[in-house]
Order: sequence, then structure tokens, then C-alpha cells
Amino acid sequence: MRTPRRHRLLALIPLVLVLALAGCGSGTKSTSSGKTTITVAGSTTVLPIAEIAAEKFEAKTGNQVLVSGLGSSAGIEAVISGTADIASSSRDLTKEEASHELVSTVIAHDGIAIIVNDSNPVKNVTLDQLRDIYAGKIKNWKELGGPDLAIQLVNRDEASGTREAFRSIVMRGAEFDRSAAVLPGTGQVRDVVSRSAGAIGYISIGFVKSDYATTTVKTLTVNGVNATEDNVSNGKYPISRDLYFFTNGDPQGVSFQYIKFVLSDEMTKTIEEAGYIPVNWDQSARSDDSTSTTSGGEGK
Amino acid sequence: MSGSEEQRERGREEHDELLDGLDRPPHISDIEPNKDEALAKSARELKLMDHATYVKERLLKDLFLLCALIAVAAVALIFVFTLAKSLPVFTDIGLGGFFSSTWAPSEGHYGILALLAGSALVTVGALVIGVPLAVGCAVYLTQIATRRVTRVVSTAVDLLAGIPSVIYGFFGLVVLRPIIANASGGLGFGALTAWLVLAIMIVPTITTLSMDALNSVDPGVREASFSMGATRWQTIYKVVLPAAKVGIVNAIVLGMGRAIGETMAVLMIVGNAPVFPHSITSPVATLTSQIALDMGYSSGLHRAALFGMGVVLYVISAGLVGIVRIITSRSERREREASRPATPVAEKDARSVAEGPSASDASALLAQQSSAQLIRSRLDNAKKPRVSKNATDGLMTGVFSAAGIVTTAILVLIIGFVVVNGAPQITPNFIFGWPRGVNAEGGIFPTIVSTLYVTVLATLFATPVAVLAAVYLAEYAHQGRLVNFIRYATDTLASVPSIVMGLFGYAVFVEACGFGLSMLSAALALALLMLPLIMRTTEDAIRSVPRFIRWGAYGLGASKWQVVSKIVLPAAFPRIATGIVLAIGRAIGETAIVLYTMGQAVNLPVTPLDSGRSMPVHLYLLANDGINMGAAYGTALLLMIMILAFNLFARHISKRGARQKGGK
Amino acid sequence: MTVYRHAPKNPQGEGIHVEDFNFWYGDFHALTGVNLDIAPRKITAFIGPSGCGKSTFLRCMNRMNDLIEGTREEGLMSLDGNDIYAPGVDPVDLRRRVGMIFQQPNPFPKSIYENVAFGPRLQGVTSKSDLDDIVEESLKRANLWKEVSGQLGKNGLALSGGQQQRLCIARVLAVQPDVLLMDEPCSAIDPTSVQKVEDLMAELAPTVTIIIVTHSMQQAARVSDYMAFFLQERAGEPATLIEYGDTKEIFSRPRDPRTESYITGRFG
Repeated sequence: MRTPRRHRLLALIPLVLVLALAGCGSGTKSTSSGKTTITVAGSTTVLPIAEIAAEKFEAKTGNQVLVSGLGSSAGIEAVISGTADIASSSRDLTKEEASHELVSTVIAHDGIAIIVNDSNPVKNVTLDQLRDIYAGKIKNWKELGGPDLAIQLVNRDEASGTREAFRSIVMRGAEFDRSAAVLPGTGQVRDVVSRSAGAIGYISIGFVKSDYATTTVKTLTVNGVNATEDNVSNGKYPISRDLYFFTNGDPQGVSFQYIKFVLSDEMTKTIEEAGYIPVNWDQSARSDDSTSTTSGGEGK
Repeated sequence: MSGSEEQRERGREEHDELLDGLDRPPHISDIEPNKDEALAKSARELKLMDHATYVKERLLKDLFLLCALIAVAAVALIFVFTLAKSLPVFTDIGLGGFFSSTWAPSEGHYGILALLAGSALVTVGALVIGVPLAVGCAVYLTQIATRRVTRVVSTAVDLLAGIPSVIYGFFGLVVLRPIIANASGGLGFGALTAWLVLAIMIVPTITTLSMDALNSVDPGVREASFSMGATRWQTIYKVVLPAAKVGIVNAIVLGMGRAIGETMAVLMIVGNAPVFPHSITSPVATLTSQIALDMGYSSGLHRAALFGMGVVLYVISAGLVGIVRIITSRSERREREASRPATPVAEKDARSVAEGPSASDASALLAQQSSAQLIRSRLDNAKKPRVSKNATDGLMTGVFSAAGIVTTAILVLIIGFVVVNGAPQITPNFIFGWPRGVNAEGGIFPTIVSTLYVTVLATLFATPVAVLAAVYLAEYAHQGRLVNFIRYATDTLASVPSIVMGLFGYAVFVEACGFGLSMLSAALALALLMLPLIMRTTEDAIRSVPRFIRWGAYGLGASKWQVVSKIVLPAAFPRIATGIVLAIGRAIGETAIVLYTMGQAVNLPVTPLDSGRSMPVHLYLLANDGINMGAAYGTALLLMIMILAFNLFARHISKRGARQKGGK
Repeated sequence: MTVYRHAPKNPQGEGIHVEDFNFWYGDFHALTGVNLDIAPRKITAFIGPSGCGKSTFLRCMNRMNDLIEGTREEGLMSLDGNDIYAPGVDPVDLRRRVGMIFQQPNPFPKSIYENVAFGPRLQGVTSKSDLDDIVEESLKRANLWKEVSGQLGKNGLALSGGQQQRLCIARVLAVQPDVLLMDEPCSAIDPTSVQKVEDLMAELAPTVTIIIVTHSMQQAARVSDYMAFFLQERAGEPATLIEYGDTKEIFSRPRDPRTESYITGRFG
């Protein structure tokens, strides 16, 4: 009878280890009473801003902010259903979403850069050409004055706010070519385009130059305008959008404090570093308390 | 001692209070009252059956049955819930709309034909590449390789089975995709990439099951073939493979189920374009990948359509399991009929056969000699084969060996890829730190804790139920329709694609039960994944305990439960533990189930209702972002180390068990 | 060491000649110093207690032991004057000439016809009529034809144990072997069937050299012309051939005391 028992003990080892790990883990990070936890869910584009703000905010106030990137739509869905306190979104509300009592706050501006492979000689596209490319009407780079090379479309997934913004600004009612590759992440789009000669994609301008990437991509000018922070900020670059926080009704308590923190000067540099344009980029005066809230119903 | 007395007391009370309605145990006076008093006094009286014992045995049996029925309930519930959630498919979309070709939810088109075509293309291609590799590998391991090589390669096959699909997807995305992109001039997403990755993924399933089939071929038949002067290839091709045909076909069908249901790996490499595939290097989408991609943000009809796709997947996998069962039972029946014919071949007196009743030895010799002459002359008519037998044999041996080598090489390649890229990332800070900043620099500690937390919880849910259910099936149940049904349900549960399990977990635990995105929801869904795995191995383990050991215990007057708990379960323990540990390995690496039941927020879970992000999900998200790949490699390495450790640990347990049995 | 009496002579160099034969399973030395000549077209029985190496030795004669990993042999074993372990000898071809019958009847899970046709097909016989002839004659030689002639399509497993064993014999006869090795062919079948197989052996002996391993001394006495007694004296040591000679004489006047002990039932 001795040996079976030893087996049983052996089998318990991983179990005990697991429990011990879980135990000591939870010990290091117990939230002291009186501090509240809020949840921010939504856009992967806004994720970096929301996360860094959450870290700094927690360090400053002790309140915990849980941030997850499920896509803009999922975030808005979560706020409507009450699962999350704040939805982060890289697009405005749809008509259906706007029927709920959501309050929106613009937290940053973002431009969407059109990227192609470094080897691609094409320099500029017009908005209309871009629409035709993504609708599948223009299929070869030679139609844009480039080499005889099939265009490989790279699109984002439907949960992506970037796709939504691109759709409303560029497609203007035209349908996406559904045979395009659908990739669920910005970095992937960049990587794929950097490795395929005929590929074209779109990403936030902040991600065009990446410290992580080992490869480079080329941005096209759109209607002759370079995709730069300045051009987004002064409105010259045509494909730009706002990044939002949505709350169910006016933000209250910790949620309000958190949103205020995101808009504060402390975050300006971080937002720039993350590749976005802070709302006060153009130094247009903004008082501390105004969080520029507009009723969701007016969106669009 | 006092403990057992207490137990008996409690048992009596239980009986009195709860179970008056139960059938009374047979009473000796009911059978035949002993009238001869003198005899009764002199002989030791037979003790009446203790009520408490009876009740205890009966209660235990019912408890085990209940556990076994949980598997059935789970299978039914998954189907019913998924179907219920997909009702709008029938009412609003209409079957015509659902089975049409355009998938464009944002424009109100919910046709799944293109996705079905994608699933079919990806599956067929994976089978075309994977089946020869897998069956070849199984033949190599069972018929050709030396014992030492078999040990190494079959370990490799087991480890390949243990690698989580998100790592396969990661490998496909980072290694295979760029290669195929360069070769084809396209993006590298599409069916071809998926074929290669899926082919590797189904190899372990098919190889392991085919090996079982090949090993169960009577070794005497193999020897007979060799002794007839057949080469190894002739023996394999003419004797062994035909004898193992049914088992191999079943293995392939189950591998097919695996390929159809695979989600995460496919999602990462097919390119997700919901159109009819026009080339094998252009992006396509499959049922599973589309569900996983859309689940997070879908609502309304779109979500109903996803559940409808879940129903389709469920029906396909249940159908495949049904096919396997039909094939198996048919061949079993045929075998039974073949070996027990209705009219046995009559034995006749041998003496009368060769040369008639009154033959002399001389005429027998004559008959033998003339027969021998005739056979020799006919054999001389044999044609020389175009290719020498030994050349064919050598060639085929080479082909099979290549299958074994390729499989091992792939394992080494994948592990090497993860280790080489991941090792530089592993620092104390990476393991014990928190993810920080824009791109999750820093550590992954909360994801490790979340993974272990949810796995422990799921194991605690699944193990008792699975083991007790297996005890019922192996020890208590009358082999009949009920057991068959339970087993079919278990097999179906085992083959339900994990994304469907995730859909179900989301609909039931997250939404209906109100557990939200939490450890609890994810653990319950994972428990459903582990349940059939543990049940299967436990049942096999219990059945492999030799019958005579049981008889020995019964002969000493042990009750059923005493036999089961004191003799059978301890004897089966090493194999049961192996099954549990392997199931834990599966649970740790599972992504599709956890993705939409646990949530994705980085969090250190404390209560079971906290949400979190598991390591596979973290890896998936990092790989998708495609920015901080270092952290992705590091996560992949840690994840793989954990799972491989569990796998090797399981092998260790079973080997020790085997050695102990062998030693005594 | 071996006691020889009336060692069978084969002046034409026919039959099997074994000289100083040793055999190892890995590190385990299983057989040592075996010397004997087996008479052609006679029945030779190998007897001895379990583990005495008689089956191992039998399996050396058609190189079935090649299929087991890590085995090794030394010494000479020749068939009709040809060293069967000489480099370049094809064991596959050897096994065609030296057929084998196993303890457990092991027909292929195929029809009776296909079982018997298996060997000829391997050799390249494709003509249906040739195959038909071979199958019929082989079954006749194995005394099975009358029992199965109308039902050649039946699965071989549908036969009784004794019939299965005779089917296996027919299967071997179909490739016209010179030698038939029988490894306890009767230990798994019922007594009446044993009778038939023994009768069959007697019929076949004038045309085929038969070597039988048996546990039953009575059987050895009944069927064999010559007898070889193998023994492993101490555990861990290699077994060897103790005594070899005419069956009747060994039974009536064993020379080695160990042989005597065995056949009088004192051990084994």
C-alpha cells in the first residue's frame, strides 16, 4: 500500500505548487479597502493610452482600472450591458448604439496612414482611388502608375475602430472587397505589408515607425498630403478620426477622475509617444474641468 | 474501530430516514426458512445482509450513475443552448439565407456556404498531407523502428499532441506564412498555410489511434507472414494494414473532426476572407475562425448566426463520431460472424480424406508426392516481379522511416523555434512582473496566475465527476443501450470543437448563470473539455485491471465498493493520474474556450468571479498585435514548458506504474 | 558435452548441419555449443523443460529471431550444405524454404483460399488456375480439402482450432518448403485434432523434413524418428543440447543421467 500512496502524493505536487503560486500571487496585490476598481473595455487602438493612464492613475490615486482591448464594438456593447464602466472606441457611435444614453468624450485624434511595401514605387493615391482599391475595382498597381503587380489587400477585422473609420471616410458607402485578408491587429498588418511586394494596408500613423519592428513600410500621400501628426492636427490629412471614451450617462466618481486624468497635461506626452495626437496638440485652450462631453445622440 | 462504527450508525440512520421506498435487500427468511433447528445451531448461521451496507452500496451506485449522466446532460445542454441561441437563424434569417454564399454581417448577409467551403478545403488538404504522414509514422513505429527509436519518436508524437493550438498558429504565422508569401508572391495567408499547420496538428491524433489499431493485430499473424517468406513491406501491406483497417479509418475520421474543429491555429493563418476560395494561397475563412473572430463584438442576428454555425459544427462532429461508432460496431459484428459461423465447418476424419477409408501408407505417400509435384510445377509458373522484392521493401521501409523522422523533425523545429526566440525573454521580471505600457513590456505574472487558477478550478470540477462516471461505466453498468449511449455522448463531448464549447460557456455560464467573464465561467467550460478525456482514460485504466484480482477480493467477502475502492482504483491509479495530468495539459493550453469566458483584461484573480487573461490568450493577443513579439515568444516558451512538463510528468507516472506491475 | 548416439548420417550433405552454435538475446547468452545434424525427410523432436532454448533454437533455423532486436548468433548452421547465416543470404528467401507452424494457430483474417494463396502470390504466381491448383493440392496435402472444399471463401478464423492449424500447414505447404518447423503445434488444440495433426506429420515426413518442438514426451515418442534433449541447468546460464539420437533408444536407454531424470519425470 505504500507505493500507491507515494504516487498520489507525487500527483499532488503540481497541484500544491499551483495553489502556492496563486496564493503568493494574490498576496502581493490585494486592493486595500476604500479603493474602487473600474473597467475600461474596447478599442485596441485606444488600448495603449488607456493602459498607461490606468497605471499612472492607479499609482496616483490607488484606484484600480482594468483595461481590455476587445474591439470598439465589443467595448460599447459592454458599457451598454453594464459589464464595463468606460468604453474606449476609435470610432463614433452607430445609429443603433446612439439610441442608448451614452456620453462621449474625445480623448485624442488619430490619422490613418496608408502603407505599402518599401519596394513599391507608387507615391500617392487619391481618396477615390483608395476606395476603388478596397472595393476591389482597381486590382493592379499599374493602374496607379506602378509596376504590373497584383494588389494584395489587407483589411482589418470588423471589430476594429480603425476599419470603421476607414470605412466611413474612404469607402463612403462602397463595400469592402470581401476577398481581402482580414487581420486582427495593427502590428500584423504592418508586418505583412512590409514583407509582401504587392500589399497595401492601413494603420494608425503612430504605428508606422515602430521600435519593435525589424522591417519598414512606406506611407503613401493621400490627395498629395503627407500622413503626419501636424497634418492630422491641422485637418489637412483627409483620413483622420477621433478617439473616444463612452460612458453610460455622465461619468461619475472614479470614472470621471480617470477620464479627467487621461485628458490632463500629464498624459499629453504619453499620447504623443503612443502615436496619437492629443486633443490639446494645437494648444487650443481647454479648461481643466471641461471634458468636452456631448450627448451620444448627436454623434455622427 | 470507532470510525467504522460511526459510519455504520450513520448508514442506518440514512436508511431509516431517506430510503424506506427502496427495494428491500433479499432476506434469508424470504428464500427458505431453516427449519432444522439442530442443524441451524451446529452450523454457523449465514449473516443477513447489513441494511447499512446495502444502502451505502446502492447510494454509491446512484451517485456514480449521476456522474455518468452529467456527460450526457452536457452534450444535450450544449446542443440545446446553442440551438436556442441560434433560433433567429430560422425565424429571421431563414435557412435559405443561412445557407447562401455571402457572409457580410454589416450588410445583413449571413450566408455560411463560403465558410463551409473554406472549412472543407482546409480540412481535406490537411488530411491529404497529414494522413500519409501519420499512418506512415504509426506503421514505422509499430512495425519497423527499433524499440529505442520507438520510444523517442512516440514521445515526440505525444508532445506534439500536447502543444497548444495557439502555438501552432503562432508558428504558422511567424515562420510558415512569410515562406509561403515569398514563394507564392501573395500574403502567405490561406489554405496552403493552414494545410501545413493542420496536417502537423492531426498527426498525433491519427498516429496514436492507428498505433493502437496496428498493435492490436495478432502478432502471430505477423510472424506467420514472415515465416512464409514475406518481406517486411509485404507483411505490412498484405497482412497488417488490412487487419488494422477499421481502426485506422476511425483514426482518420477522428483526425478529420480535429481538423474541422480547430480554431485558434486556423484563425491566425487563413487570412479570414469570407469568400469562396479561389486559390490555395488566397485568404479564406472557416466556420471556426469566423466565430472566433466575430464573437467578441457581434450582436443580434449576427450573434445568432454565429451560434447557428456552432450548431453546424456540432452536428458535423457528432456525425463523425456516429460514423466511427457505426464502422466499429459493424466490423465487430462481422468479425463475430466470421469467427462463429451459423453452420460450423464439419470436422471429418482426417484419415478418410487424403485417399479414402482404407488407404495404405503407401498410397498416402503417393498422393503426397503427386500433390507436391503439382504444386512445384505451378509455382514454377511464377513471374519474376519487375522490381525486386527487396528493393521495394527497402524503398517502403525508407518511406515509412521518413514519416517518423519528419514527425520528429517537426517537433524539434517547433520547440526549437519557441526556445530560441523565447529564451532570451525569460527573466525573473518577465515571470514575476506585470505587463506595462503600450505594448505589454514587463512581465506576464497575472496571466500565469490566471492560467493556473482556472486550470486548478477546472480540474477540481472535472476530476471527481469524470472518475466516478468512469467507475460506473466500467464496474457497475450493465453493458447495454444506456452504457452505449453514455459512451456515445462522451465521445461526442470529446469531439465538440472547442470554439463551440466557448460559445456554450459564454451563453450559459457568462450570460445565463450570470457568472460574467470570470475564472468560474472559464473553469466550468474547461471542465467540459476535460471531462471526456479523464473519463476515457479512467475507464480504460479500470478495465485493464485483471478480472481475477477482483475475483480474489470478492472471494474474501469484500463488498462491491470495497473491491472498487480498495483494489481496483489503487491498481488503476497510475493510469488514471496520467489521464488527469494529460487533461490538465490540454486545459492549460486551451485558448478558444477561455477567450470568451474568462475575458481578456490583465488581472490577478482572487475570487472565482474575477476575470483575467490566460497565457494562451495573452500569446494570441500579442501575436495578433504583432508588435511586441518578444513578449509573445517568451509567453509561448513558458506556456510550452508548463505543458511539456505536465506531459513528461504524465509519461513518468505511467512508466512507473508499468514498471511496478512488471516488477511484481 | 553432448551425448551422441547413432548420429543421423546424411552422406549427400542434405539436411541441416549445426556446429558449435551459440545464441544471445542482447546480453543474455541463451544457447551454447549446440552441435547436431538433422536427417532429411525425417521427424526430429526437440524436448526439454520450459526455458531450455528449444524454441529459440528452432527459430534460429529460419532466422525468425532476426525479427527480434539485439539478437546475435555464432557458429555454423547450414541447410543442404549452405550456411544460412552467411553474409548476403536473404532471410526472406530462406523462410520460403523453411516453413514454420506456430503454437497458436494463426490464420490471416482472410478467406481460406486467400490464406493458402498468400505464399504463392508473394512468389509472383498470378494465374487464377495455377493458384486454384496450388490451393487445392495444398489443402489436400494438409488433409483439409474435403472439409472445406465447398467453402473456400469462408474466413479462416471460422474454422475450429484444429482445422486452423491444418490450414496453417496447408498455407506453408503451398510454397513447397524443404523443411517444416513446428513450434508446439498441438499445445493449443483439442485431443482429436492433435491426432489428425500427428497423422498428417507422418504422411508428410517422406517428402518434407519436419522438426517439432514439443512439451509432451508421449508425443515425441509417438511421432519422432530422432530426438534432441535441451536443458538449461542453472538459471542465468546458457542452455545446451544434452543428448541426441534415435527416439526409441533414448527412451529405452538414456545415456545422460539428466536425460533420464527428465524422461522419467523427475524434473521439468
